[in-house]
Amino acid sequence: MKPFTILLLFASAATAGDCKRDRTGIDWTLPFTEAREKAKKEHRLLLIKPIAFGTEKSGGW
Amino acid sequence: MLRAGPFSDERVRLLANRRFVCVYFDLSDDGAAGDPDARQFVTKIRRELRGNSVPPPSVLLVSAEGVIAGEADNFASTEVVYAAMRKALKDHPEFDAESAAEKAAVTPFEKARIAFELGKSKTAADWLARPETEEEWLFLAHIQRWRGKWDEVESALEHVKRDDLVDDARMERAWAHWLRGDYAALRDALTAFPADSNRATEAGYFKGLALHHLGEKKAALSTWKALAATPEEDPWVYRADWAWMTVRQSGKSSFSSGDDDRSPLGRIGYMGRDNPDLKGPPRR
Repeated sequence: MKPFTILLLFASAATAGDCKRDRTGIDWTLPFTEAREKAKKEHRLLLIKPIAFGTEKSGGW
Repeated sequence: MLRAGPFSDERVRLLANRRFVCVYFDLSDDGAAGDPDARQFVTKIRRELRGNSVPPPSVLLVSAEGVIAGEADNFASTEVVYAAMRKALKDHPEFDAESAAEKAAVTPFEKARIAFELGKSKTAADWLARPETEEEWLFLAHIQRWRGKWDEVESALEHVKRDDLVDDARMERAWAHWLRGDYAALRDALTAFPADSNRATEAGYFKGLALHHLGEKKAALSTWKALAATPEEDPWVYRADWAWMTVRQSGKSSFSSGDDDRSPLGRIGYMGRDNPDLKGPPRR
């Protein structure tokens, strides 16, 4: 385990729609309002991953 | 690390897609994945995520109304994340009901697939008690592999002869070698694996593991690095990148964007856990 406990937020000039989609095969629903509506409609829990290391247009997170 | 680790695990992915609505966002609204609505929702239930310096955020399992049903640490292992997901569903059965599509499933193959994706591998195997097609035999072998039923894996694979399924059968046998820790057999099983196969990146990852555990460290690193050039990234490319960095960043505790030691995928470093496969197969 690496001794990281605190992350600093930093800003990027990119916009939300630019972030390269993850390729794990997890079916991410974006943006959040759409995910929340889907969870309500389908009676499912949200699986939320907040990211605090800065997301980049190239897909880094 | 989450993407290369738990989120790249088949069981986590299948359960996430079948029972959860998954969303990620950047806590900074200006980030590429910034989402003010998500930030407001999450910081209301996790006040520690407000401000400009925050602890690494957990994976949250939460209702649309904001009730937390479970969570897993940002650096949690695959097993911990998967267990948290299953516990959340067990504790909140109202979110675990069959979907309309699941109720409409008719064939044993469909029912087996649903059961497997929900983590009920024995039920899935029971649905395929009498496979009728080579795809069904292959899927039965896959299920039995996750159950560690090696004799059943092999007996199912004996029915898989079709050219378009040969690579899948090879890969299932390779998994058996890996999980037994038979690295020489794993290497031999993956020799000259077709580069255009749908299992090619998976084969490349495990070939790298075989070489690593056989002491051929440089060859292992080269094998994993080559996967980064794959046109479409996938879980095995992520995991290979993580393995490469685990070896190369061994002993380091800090990283910077100016570091010459970026991963083959261009990542600065992997915080948290090392790739566990470098210590050997998981114990089951």
